[in-house]
Amino acid sequence: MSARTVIAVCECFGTLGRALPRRDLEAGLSARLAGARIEFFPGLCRAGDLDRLAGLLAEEGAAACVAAACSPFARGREVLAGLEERGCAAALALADLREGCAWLHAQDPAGAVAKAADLAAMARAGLERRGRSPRASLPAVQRVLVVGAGPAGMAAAGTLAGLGVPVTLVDRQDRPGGLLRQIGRLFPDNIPSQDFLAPLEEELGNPLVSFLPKTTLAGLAGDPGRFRARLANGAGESELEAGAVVLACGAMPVLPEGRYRAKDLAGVISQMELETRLRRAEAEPAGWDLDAAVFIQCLAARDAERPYCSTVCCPTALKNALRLKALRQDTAVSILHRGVMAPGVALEELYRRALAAGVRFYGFAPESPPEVLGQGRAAGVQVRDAFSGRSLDLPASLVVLSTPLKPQPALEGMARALGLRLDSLGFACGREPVAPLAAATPGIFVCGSARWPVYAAQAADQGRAAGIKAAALLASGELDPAGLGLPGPWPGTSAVRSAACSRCGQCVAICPYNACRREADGSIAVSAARCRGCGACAAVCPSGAAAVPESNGPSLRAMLREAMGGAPGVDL
Amino acid sequence: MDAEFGPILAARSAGLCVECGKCVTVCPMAEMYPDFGWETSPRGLVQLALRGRELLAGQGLWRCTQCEACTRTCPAGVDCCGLVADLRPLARAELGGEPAAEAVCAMCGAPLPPAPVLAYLRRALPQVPLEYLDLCPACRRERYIRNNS
Amino acid sequence: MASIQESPTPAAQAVPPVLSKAGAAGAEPGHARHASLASLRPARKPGWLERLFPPRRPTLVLDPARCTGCGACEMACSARDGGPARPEAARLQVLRDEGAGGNFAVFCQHCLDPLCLAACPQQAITRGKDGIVRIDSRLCAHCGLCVAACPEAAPRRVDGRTVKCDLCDGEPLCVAACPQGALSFSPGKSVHWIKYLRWTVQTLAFLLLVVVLTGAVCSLRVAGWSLACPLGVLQNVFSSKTILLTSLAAGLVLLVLALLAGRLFCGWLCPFGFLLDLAGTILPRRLGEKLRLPEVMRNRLAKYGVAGAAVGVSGVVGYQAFCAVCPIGTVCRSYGFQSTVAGAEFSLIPALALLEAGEKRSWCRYLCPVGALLGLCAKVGLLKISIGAARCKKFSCMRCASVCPMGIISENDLREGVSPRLDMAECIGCLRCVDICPHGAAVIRFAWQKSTPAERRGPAPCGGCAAGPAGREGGAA
Repeated sequence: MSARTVIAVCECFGTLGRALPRRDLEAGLSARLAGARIEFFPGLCRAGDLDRLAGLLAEEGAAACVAAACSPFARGREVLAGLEERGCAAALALADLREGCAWLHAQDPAGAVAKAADLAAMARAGLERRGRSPRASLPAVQRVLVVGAGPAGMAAAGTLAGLGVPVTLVDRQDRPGGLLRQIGRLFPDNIPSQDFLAPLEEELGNPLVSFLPKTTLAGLAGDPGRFRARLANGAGESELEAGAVVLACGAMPVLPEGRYRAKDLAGVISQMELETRLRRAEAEPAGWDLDAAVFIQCLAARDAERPYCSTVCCPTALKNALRLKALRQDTAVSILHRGVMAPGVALEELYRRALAAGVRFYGFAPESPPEVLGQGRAAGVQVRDAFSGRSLDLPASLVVLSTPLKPQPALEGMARALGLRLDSLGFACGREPVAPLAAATPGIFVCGSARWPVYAAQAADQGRAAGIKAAALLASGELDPAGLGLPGPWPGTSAVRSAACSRCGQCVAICPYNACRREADGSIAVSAARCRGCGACAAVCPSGAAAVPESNGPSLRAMLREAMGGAPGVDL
Repeated sequence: MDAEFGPILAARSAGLCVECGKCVTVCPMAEMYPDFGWETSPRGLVQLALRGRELLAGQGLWRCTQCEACTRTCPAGVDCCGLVADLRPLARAELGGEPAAEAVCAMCGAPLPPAPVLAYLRRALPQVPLEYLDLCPACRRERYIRNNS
Repeated sequence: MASIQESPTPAAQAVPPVLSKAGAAGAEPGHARHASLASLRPARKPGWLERLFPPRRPTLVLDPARCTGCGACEMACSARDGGPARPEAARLQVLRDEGAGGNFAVFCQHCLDPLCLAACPQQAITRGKDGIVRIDSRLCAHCGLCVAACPEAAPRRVDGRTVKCDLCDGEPLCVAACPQGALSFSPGKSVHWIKYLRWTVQTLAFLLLVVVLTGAVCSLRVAGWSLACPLGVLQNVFSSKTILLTSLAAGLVLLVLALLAGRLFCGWLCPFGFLLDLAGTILPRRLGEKLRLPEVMRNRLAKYGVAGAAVGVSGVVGYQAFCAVCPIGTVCRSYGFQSTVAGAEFSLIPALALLEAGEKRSWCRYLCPVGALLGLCAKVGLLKISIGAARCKKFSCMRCASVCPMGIISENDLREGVSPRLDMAECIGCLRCVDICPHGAAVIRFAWQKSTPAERRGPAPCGGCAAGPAGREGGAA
């Protein structure tokens, strides 16, 4: 290989000719870069020109090539990638002569030519000391771990199995179904939850799905493509390797506790308890003699402690109110609300059906909540009606309290372990708005009520989407760095030179992506799958052991010297 | 709700009211009475009816001109106009006749608009003696032709 | 809560007072819409131009004698929009009652000052520039208050909607459909020329009687003819206790004129009347509130008393007592200021003229003894002003009542739908009513002319009509 450098100048189809006239540019470049071969190409991003350049490089046996083209954010990176694909052995560098030079200095051709020569010279100077990131192969374990077997988890597992990806589905309970097991019927069409779950359960029958009941996720380590999960069940702990993890652990309802005298009056119950009663009553209608019921919405929600609307409690109340009316037509059902949340056509029709069935709606203001009256048993509810401003007395032997869904307490611990971001309310975050189901850590997906309270159909839809995303990630058998969100051939990932490393651990502390890790023997290793090439480790390393090879110190110093060497007062 | 109101509310679909307020914008009572407020608007009458018997003592029932604009405009299908008409006999019974011992035509005995509506007319036309207000439209025409033929 | 303001509304298009309540606390959204509508149609008094050239009054005219009750008009009207012909949905109504005297049709009169317009809470009724009163169906809430306000209940409630005659925008179908020609369309007279003639004659008479022939009304001698004020002659007779045939004859001139032409002298020739008319046009209306004769003097019989007193006093004091203070005479003799009592009688003239701001021709109504004498003759005289029942639009127009300076046309009668009868002893023959009537209802008739059925005014005697004449008299004014 000769020491010759090839400077491949892209003319960008003649558009740069005014700011960088060809003859001047050629003269400037050859003056600055003695000994280099300067070649002009009409459009380097085109395959034909790339082929020609690759052939030229092979012919020359060049050791280095500077592609003087456009910005890496434009087509520059593709030029480099194209050369790599064609198997160029030369070291490649990019000089941005378009966005960085010609477009900026269109009125000053002389200055633009001088700057272009500077940029090309810097790129070549940097090349000499520049390293190359380890091209780690990132094999992907062909298995996905789905945590939680509610509708979201079941849908995810079913989808993955259907796509041919082996799935391990774990759940805290002994059967799949999650909260839906406790709910008898689903809104808006009042279908039995069993009918909704049946097709999902059938998908779980796929031999690729391995369902582990009564199992929880105790911890997660490892890198995308090769996660190491610690699963705990009654018999102890076991380890599982998985290429991706889908978090579908759902949310749990807030308990009324002592609010609205739930503890000291019989007949004041939560929405979940009503589900149980209704299921029993719908199976055995005889003996149901409820004459009046009152629902109270927005318990412990939309207040200072929980400043959000849980979305599903109003449709649930509407559905259950209609079920009460179906059991006995003349039951007086009232819903005390702070605004009925029923978005969308189907839910609006549910609301209208409730009105037509004779359910009464009374609004109250948060500062004057209703009062439950009674001794021993609930006798009625007194509420200051927001419409008329008057106090209404509603007799009721059943008072149903609608509470919001809150995140699982285990989610907080899991988040730390996974490097997962939780929002201010404690729900798991995706990468809004671009990839709402993908967590910040690549390879981990969140769906269902763990992310935000949703109802069954929505949870299933999200689960299917998360399953497809996980499958796409693992599809090629090897993790595509682009799929992990890593950049292309440049700028690269960090590497720690163990010879210089003093094992102080500062890079481990500072790495925002948990990519720098201390191994069992105390040395530091960088996970290529997690590293984003931010260079924070390089900045803190006292011994210069950590560095991103493409942007290492010597290379940068060489570029700076080329640019400013000889300038007075500059000491490099 | 009690046995009297229940069938009336059901027949006129009062429970379908979603409080949108379209009936209020078309109601002519808004212009006729300066104290037109939520209690005397069509929406208010329907909602008060759903909440008890209080509206039977109020003025709102008697100010209604029965023009049916509210019923025609209601998107949910509440028959506000019919509800008012059905509640008037109950109000009369409850209050023993006041406030609208319903006036009837002096000639043929047909019902005339209630007293608040006639009071509005007298206010709107202060310079006119309006002695013919005690006649229904048909009898008014009869008297007119008798005066002129 | 805002209180309802009972403001006196002017006769022409007035915004009902109940609309001045924008911003009442707790007001529902309906308020805001109509408050802004109110600002688009401010109340307007007719300007001087409109008083000189009043707008046209298109209307239907019915000849009840020709109406056979066939109902073709109802059919044509209800079928106007292409649907089936339904008489109960027509905008005019035929009433068939052979026993009561024939058939009649009730239709919207397109009033000058429509009561339906004032009553409509949505301000949906407007009177267009073409004079047609229409209901804007976009604004109409079909409340039926216009039906309740109309004296003849002309708007109708059809299928829950309220409709009203709109004269088919100038070419009424009912008129075309009537096989007997009982219905006709009158665009309304727009040129009112009599007033120009009258002002001219009044001016000339003033010049003649005051300037050229000063003192002519009191006594005039021209080429062997003599004319004298009848009151003066009477006073003379009583004061001098002698009767001269020549002076009697002179005094009879005006009385004979009154027998033939009513109190034409008062309306066209009297110079003081001319001054009063001038004052009436110049003085602003606002003064009228404060300038009124005391109630006790506002009696039409008072002038007879004044005449009697004048004659009596003359008899006592021995000279024509009234002539000293008579404003007519003062005006007549004022050219050159040949006064009899040191100018004091001149003060009467501005005082009486100021009253014109209130009731027009107050002097002529309540005080003028000359007018009293002329009126006695006019009452039994030949000239009659007749306001015909068929053509008179009564409550819908009422222009004759508003324009009559002697105030003898009863507005209450008109509002009741009855065409008024005029007391010729009070009528000064100014013919303002004849001039202004757009439908030719007010006409001059002489005693020998029989009135046609169309000119008879009601009410006809009817049996069992509890709210007929008794209702009218018994009702609160």
